[in-house]
Amino acid sequence: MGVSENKVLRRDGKLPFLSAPVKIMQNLYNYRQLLKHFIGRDLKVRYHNSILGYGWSVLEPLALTVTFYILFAILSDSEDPYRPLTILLGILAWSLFAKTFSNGTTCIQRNSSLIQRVYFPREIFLFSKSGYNMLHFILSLFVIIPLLIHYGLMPTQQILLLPIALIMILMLGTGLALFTSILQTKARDVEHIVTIGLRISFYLSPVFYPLEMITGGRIPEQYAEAYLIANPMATYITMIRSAFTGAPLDIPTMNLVITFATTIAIFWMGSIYFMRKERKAVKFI
Amino acid sequence: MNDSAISINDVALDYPRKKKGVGLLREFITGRFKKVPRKDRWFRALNGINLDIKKGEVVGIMGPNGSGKSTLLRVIAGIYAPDEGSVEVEGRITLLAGIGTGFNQDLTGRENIKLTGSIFGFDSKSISDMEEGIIDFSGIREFIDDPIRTYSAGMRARLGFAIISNLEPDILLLDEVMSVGDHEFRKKSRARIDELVQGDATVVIVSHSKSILKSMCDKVYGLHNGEIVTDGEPESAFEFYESEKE
Repeated sequence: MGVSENKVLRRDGKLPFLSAPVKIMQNLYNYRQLLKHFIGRDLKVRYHNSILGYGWSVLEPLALTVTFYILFAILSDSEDPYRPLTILLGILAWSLFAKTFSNGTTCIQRNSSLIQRVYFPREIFLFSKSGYNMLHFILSLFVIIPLLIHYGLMPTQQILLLPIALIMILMLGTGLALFTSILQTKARDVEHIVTIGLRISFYLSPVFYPLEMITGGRIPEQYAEAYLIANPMATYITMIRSAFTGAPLDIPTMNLVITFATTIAIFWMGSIYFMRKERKAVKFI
Repeated sequence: MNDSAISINDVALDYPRKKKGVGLLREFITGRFKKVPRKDRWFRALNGINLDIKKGEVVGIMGPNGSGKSTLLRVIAGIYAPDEGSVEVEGRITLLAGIGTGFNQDLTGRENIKLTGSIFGFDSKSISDMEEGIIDFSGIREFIDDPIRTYSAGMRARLGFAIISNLEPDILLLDEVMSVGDHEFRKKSRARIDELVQGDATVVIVSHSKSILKSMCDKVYGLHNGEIVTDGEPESAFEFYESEKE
């Protein structure tokens, strides 16, 4: 194993700048065994009591879906033929992002006893959380199968939107956490700020309502465009919905390009920031 | 050059004074958002450290509390990157310090052996090979498939020591670890450390105990305010340590 070899590289080599994401990917590859173990550990803890564990983990999104479904049946007159599916997919996609971001924020500080004991690239903590949340999302996705059968929905080519959206959500959540995990070591209330921020954006994103309720003519077009640019999750949630309903993605191509570019930029800058600050940050934990 | 296991060249390390970070909200309310000069926020924990430790050597480090002993071990282990100078290390390193934490409470003892093994860079096969030996040494075979949270503190310490000491590192860093578990296990762990010390491993021991260092080490250095103040001769390090206590 390249344990000590890697260490020398990390300490004496120049701090990566533009190559930061590449360096991170190399580290993840070299330590893939450990990454696998960390993800396996989280899954094991979560699903220890196999059936029940899985049941609990999908109970929350299901309960929320029922709640919002009833609320919307009373409050809104919008015609969404797939409403339960829309809500459920929104909640699952959102929690993938929210969990990746918030677990990532605290993971360096939470693992202080391990970090002070042995060296390995610290981004492993972050990416193992991302990987775990991804697997958890995929496992949770099975609960939509009865709905798909009920509506008679067959996978179309639109299903290709799903992997793209998932990768983008992971990049966004992890990219933001690359910043906040470092900041969290120095200021312990960063996690609270993240929690509040996530809660607010939960309501501002089309999680329990379709995107058309915001962009569908209720506000001027230029505001709708600004909204899509400011909120990448709006795009990704909508992509995931289209993937399953087969509906065409009603987002201008220009907006899609900008959203993807922003997400990649956040991940890239986060990587640079993390690689530069990490060695100093661990002195605070 | 190539017979060095650890070579530390002019290493300096700064450490934050306020370790536990700050609260943004508190800073905001108390209005202390002002710029504090760097020298008030950081202090020099290690300064101008030069050490060359040969393969197979057993080196002790002695010094009063807060002199930077543990920090030095962490720099060698790669946990802290030096702010100045360089550290070169050849071989697999294991730091053994205040055993037992770092376990996952919800996993069983056996699963934690696997996890710890992979943290230290071993592949699944070599971990499986070591597993039985670790369980035997820990003496808690009947509980090994129970979750760690059901373990007593002593059982955790036993398992922790059993794992780390069976990893067979090229370089072993020991930070005050001679007091684990009950009397019997303490004897066993002391014997195990003696075995490692007498084997091929390069060992660096941090301790307050003159008798331990005297019986094990080829060289002993005195550390004071982050600087090495003696030349490696064990007697002069002990003398320095005695004078510091007064």
